[in-house]
Amino acid sequence: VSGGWELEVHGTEAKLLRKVAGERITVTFNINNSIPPSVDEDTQEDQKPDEQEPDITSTPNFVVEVVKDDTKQTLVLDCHYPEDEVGQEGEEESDIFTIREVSFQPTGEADWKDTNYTLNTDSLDWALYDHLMDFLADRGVDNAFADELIELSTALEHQEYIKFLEDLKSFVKCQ
Amino acid sequence: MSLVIRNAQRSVPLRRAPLRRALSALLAALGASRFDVALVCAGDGLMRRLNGAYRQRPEPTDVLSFPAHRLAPGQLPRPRCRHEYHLGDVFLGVEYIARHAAGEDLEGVLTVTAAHGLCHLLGYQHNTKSEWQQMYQKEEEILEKLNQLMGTNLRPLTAGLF
Repeated sequence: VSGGWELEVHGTEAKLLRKVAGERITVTFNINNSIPPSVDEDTQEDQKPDEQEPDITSTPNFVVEVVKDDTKQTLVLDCHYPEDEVGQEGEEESDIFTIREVSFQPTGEADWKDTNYTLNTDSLDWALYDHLMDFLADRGVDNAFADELIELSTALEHQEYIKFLEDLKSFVKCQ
Repeated sequence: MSLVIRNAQRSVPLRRAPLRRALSALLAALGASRFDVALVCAGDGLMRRLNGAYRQRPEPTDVLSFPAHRLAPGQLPRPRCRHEYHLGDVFLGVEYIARHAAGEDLEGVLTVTAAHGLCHLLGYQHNTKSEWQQMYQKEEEILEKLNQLMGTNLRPLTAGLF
């Protein structure tokens, strides 16, 4: 992913890290359950034999954490891709990704604090939502980033899938 | 009033909040603050598809407006129910605009183009010289109000069309 991000992969979880202007930004996603449902069976039956099936892409939810050097709080933004629009032919008319929830969490603590207020953006003032999107864009999390994250996630998912098939083959052969 | 902004393109870095501020001010200048508008920042692909489907010109363009009402220039709808408060959709061809705005302030060009699109939603056209003059005058008027508010120096999109 362009923009000076470091990548760490632990199994199915990947982290992109970046430091900029006194802030540490982390983007975390998991490739498990990241492939959206394909077109329904009725459509598939009508498909002509020579038509190519749509590419399988991985569109994981991703969590952006922003830690400023001088605070003990981490701003956490839970981001999602639209459920049924990525990868279809033609350009779509919606945002490439959306912010679903925003919360402050104590920096450095692994456990999520349920007692910290979580803002759901469904009913959020749109002007404030735009500011949050601009906040992310200023830190490198914009539409271009979201697109590259899909490519990265798809590649990782494919890699894990192949490994799983190989493990399955070995396991089945064992006596 | 609800102003929905969507950024459906990946090629051009965009800041939504300044665009929203400008559009809200333009709608106020048009006397249309109580109405709803949707603005989609689109890439070449989407603009090409829409331009081809609705104007039989399958090529990217700078702005496409889809009014929800048939209005005389400057007329405002008289809504009888909630959904009639929707003025329509404006698609900004951000990739196209950025490509042709070399050297100019992109945010300013987007704002001027959006102003043009909003005027189309309110029935302004530029198919004849007199129509263009009327539309140009209105664009000049609302951009001047925006300039006073924001300290900008924006001019209408279609200067010199006729």
